[in-house]
Amino acid sequence: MIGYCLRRLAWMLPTLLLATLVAFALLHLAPGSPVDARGEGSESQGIGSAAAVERFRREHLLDQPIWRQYLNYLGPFDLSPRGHASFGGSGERPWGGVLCGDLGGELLQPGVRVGEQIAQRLSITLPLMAAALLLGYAIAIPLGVFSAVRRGTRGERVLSYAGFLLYAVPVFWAGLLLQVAFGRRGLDWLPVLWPAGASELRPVLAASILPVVCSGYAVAVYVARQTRASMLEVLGSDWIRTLRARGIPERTIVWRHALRNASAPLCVHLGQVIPALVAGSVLVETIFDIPGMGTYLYRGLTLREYDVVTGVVLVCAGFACLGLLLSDLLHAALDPRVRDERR
Amino acid sequence: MIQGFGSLTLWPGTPSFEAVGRLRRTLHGPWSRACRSLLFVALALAACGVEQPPPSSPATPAPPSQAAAASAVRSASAPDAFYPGFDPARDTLPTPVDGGRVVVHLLSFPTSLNYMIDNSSVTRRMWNELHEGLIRQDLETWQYVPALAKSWTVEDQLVLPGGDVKSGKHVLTGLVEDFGDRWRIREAGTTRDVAKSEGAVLVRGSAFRFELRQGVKWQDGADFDARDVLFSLRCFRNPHVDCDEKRYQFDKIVRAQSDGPHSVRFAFAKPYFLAENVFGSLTILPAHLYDLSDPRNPDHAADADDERQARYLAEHPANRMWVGLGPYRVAEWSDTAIVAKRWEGYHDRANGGHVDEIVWRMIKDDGAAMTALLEGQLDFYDRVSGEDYLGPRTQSPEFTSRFYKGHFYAPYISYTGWNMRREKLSDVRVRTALALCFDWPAFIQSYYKGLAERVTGEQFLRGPAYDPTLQPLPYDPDRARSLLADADWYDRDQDGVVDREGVALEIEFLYPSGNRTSELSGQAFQAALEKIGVKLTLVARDWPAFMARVDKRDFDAISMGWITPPVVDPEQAWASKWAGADSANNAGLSDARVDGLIERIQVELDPTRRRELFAELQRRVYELQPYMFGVNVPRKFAMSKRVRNLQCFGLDPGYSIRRWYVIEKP
Repeated sequence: MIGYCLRRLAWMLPTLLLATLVAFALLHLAPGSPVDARGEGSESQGIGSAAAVERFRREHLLDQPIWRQYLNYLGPFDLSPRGHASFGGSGERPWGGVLCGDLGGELLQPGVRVGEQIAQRLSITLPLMAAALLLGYAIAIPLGVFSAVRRGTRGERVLSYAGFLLYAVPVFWAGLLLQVAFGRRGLDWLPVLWPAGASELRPVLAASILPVVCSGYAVAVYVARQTRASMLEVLGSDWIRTLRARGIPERTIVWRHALRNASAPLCVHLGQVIPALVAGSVLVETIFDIPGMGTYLYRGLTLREYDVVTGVVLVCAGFACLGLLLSDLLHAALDPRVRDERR
Repeated sequence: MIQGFGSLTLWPGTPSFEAVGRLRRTLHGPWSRACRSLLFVALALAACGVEQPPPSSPATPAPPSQAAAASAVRSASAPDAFYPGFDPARDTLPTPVDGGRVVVHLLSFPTSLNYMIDNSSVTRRMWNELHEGLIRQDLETWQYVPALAKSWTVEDQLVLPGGDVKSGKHVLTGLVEDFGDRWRIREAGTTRDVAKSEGAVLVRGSAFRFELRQGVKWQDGADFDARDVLFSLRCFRNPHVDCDEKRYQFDKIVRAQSDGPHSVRFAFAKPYFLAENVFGSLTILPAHLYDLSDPRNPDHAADADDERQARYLAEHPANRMWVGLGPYRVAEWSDTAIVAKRWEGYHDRANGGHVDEIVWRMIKDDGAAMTALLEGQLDFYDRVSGEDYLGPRTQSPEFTSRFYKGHFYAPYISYTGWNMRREKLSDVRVRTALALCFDWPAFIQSYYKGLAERVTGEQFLRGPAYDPTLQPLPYDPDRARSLLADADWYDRDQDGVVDREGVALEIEFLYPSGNRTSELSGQAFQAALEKIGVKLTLVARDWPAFMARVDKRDFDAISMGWITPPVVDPEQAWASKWAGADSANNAGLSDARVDGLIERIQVELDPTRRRELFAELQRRVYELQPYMFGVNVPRKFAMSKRVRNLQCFGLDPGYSIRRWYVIEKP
């Protein structure tokens, strides 16, 4: 199994490199550049002198072909004017790039390192995502089991329709509805925006509830549908009929035997849910004004911060890969046949 | 001039009776008795169909003088003028209490708090509380008053034969008196007579001496002195420092020197009418932190060249965690908020503000910001939409019990800029025809609900450099058709679009995506131009893509806006030397008469004559129509009732947080 894990981790590298390449290329192909984004909110319409623009482009390699910019981003040689002497630089900063563990710097805020910013934001986004995932699964599994066991009853039909309805609700709309319902304009139970400058845990926890619910409900609805389908398949199998014939209580059959067998496909879905949560964090964090990875990505896109976007995409791709690996490992842990195949 | 709602009717462009009546019914603003009386008089006159004259003269109102403008500002920026039920003329302002915190909305965050390299208006807003300059503009009078400099003297320069004003060689600096055949110059307690026959040249009002306050400390405890001032000027003039938008001002200073740790002198080559503005906008940096040649700097490098110094400055961590000289110091910078806390070492405690903490909360989306306000997470929001401002959202008892609202005019104009380099737009008749087609009065009523005023120039319409007697072009599609025909544009092929030499007159209207005002005005313009056979295509681009096209001059028409000081040097906007690809003269205006007027304005120190020149320039530019000038829109704000003493001014951002204070219960 260790060998399998190592093989999978090794395969992640080309995947991640490909992700950075695609993100880098797409962003550079989009119209506009950080040079133009510098003017947003500027009093003089952001038009610096030609010399200043030229200097900015030269310092950040924006005047170089895209392949050279990408190689500079990858590293390990710094190809900028201050970079490695072998590549025409001053030698002041010879090494750099992703291969050196450096995700680059923000172009518009000199001195701000993308890696540090992502780490800081992950400390907010990761707990929220984990809470949403837990909440989603905690709701989805009992609901899915209930729907499967009570198939065809009125309660099950109501739940199914409600599930379809919720699944069709876009996250941004759900977020706004939650804000209206639980904010000051509604029940006035919860803060609807992230507390600015708060150093205490309590307001942060209170402000986390709605974003977690907003992210978690989509997970819950999706996973509940999958749980129901898996459970129905398992409950209809011969060995379950055999267990019933042996007089084993229905509760034990459902929760101990059927659910365990039905949960293997759910683990596979974990690999899909984690990337979806990461992608959804852009919307959720924007709605609830959370200073996490999602808002960082959004800012990077609007300002054409190449290193920010590529860095966030790289980290998200890493999470997606890890999510898939985790789901495979869980699948193997639950299903000995899979384990045997992978030895 | 700043005006509350009550004075809306005092100006040309008076809203219709219905609109005023609706506003009167819907607004819960700070109605003083005087304002109410004025409104009722205006309502009565409007109902009788009598147009309200401007305050000075019914026929040809005189341009407002600096004093008149300042007087108007004083009356409209009275303490707590917007607080419901509070009449500054009648009531006594509660004694300010210190403490608490206020949360103020910002649409975006600056990339840096170093205003030298970040030219954004948001940085300047924060700087008002975080930092201080040599001198600052008084909010009420717009006159410059001492700040870090306790006093300053304007001096003359007498350039003796063989002298050079740039090097200071054979130049006498001091106060010069004219005695007919000779000049008498007083300098540092000495007096010297120079016969005019010697051939000396007198340059009046071109030298400045500043006496700095002693005992002023930077927020890290270091002393402030002349080294900081001179280092800052050096940075502005360092070509590698990214401050080109401001550098042109400081390039006008030819000499700078200190006469001791608390005295600095500057000299210009010739008089400059905005010289005080130059010193007011001189961003002073702490030399002990930023200057590599300063031995106090931990990264001291005596041999550092300009390029290295510029890079050091650009990447310095203090650009975010700013170390300044103001009453508040940055304590936290996150993705959504910048928090500043009171700094007890501020040199002028009496003007050091009342609140203990200021939180600038960045919310990019206006809808989310309004939600944040209603949720109690903002105390002040000054981008309330017209719909919300006049609609039920801000009239509910739930709102009025917790907030109050109002509006004020700050220096801002919107405009549609034409690319005069394009052949189809190079003819002034075409540009004038296009401007004649837009029904501004109708748009102001329908979109701005009457809360906007048309402008005919780039200067602040309440400022001394603006001539309000210049009437805007009327809505006249028939004349527009006629002008187009004169320019040989008419519909030859009967396809509904005018053409010339086989080319249809099609114009692309470029605007930043997400800008609702530009989008709606573009749609209205599109419909209007269709009637005279001009095809307007609306194109939205996100900001970087938009600016990329503006930089490359790859546009027909652009929708933009300007935030300016009350008086702006027109050089960058209109001078032909900036008509290339790297300045604010994005229309590409190039006119010898305009250039001549700008040069005369810049050296004219007499305010009356300068005002005349500004008026002449405004007329000439309006005649040439490089822009279709739009409107000055008031900022509509909502403020929590827990914060008192909001005053609004004609200087951006239009308010001063230092004057606010927090009460526990409204």
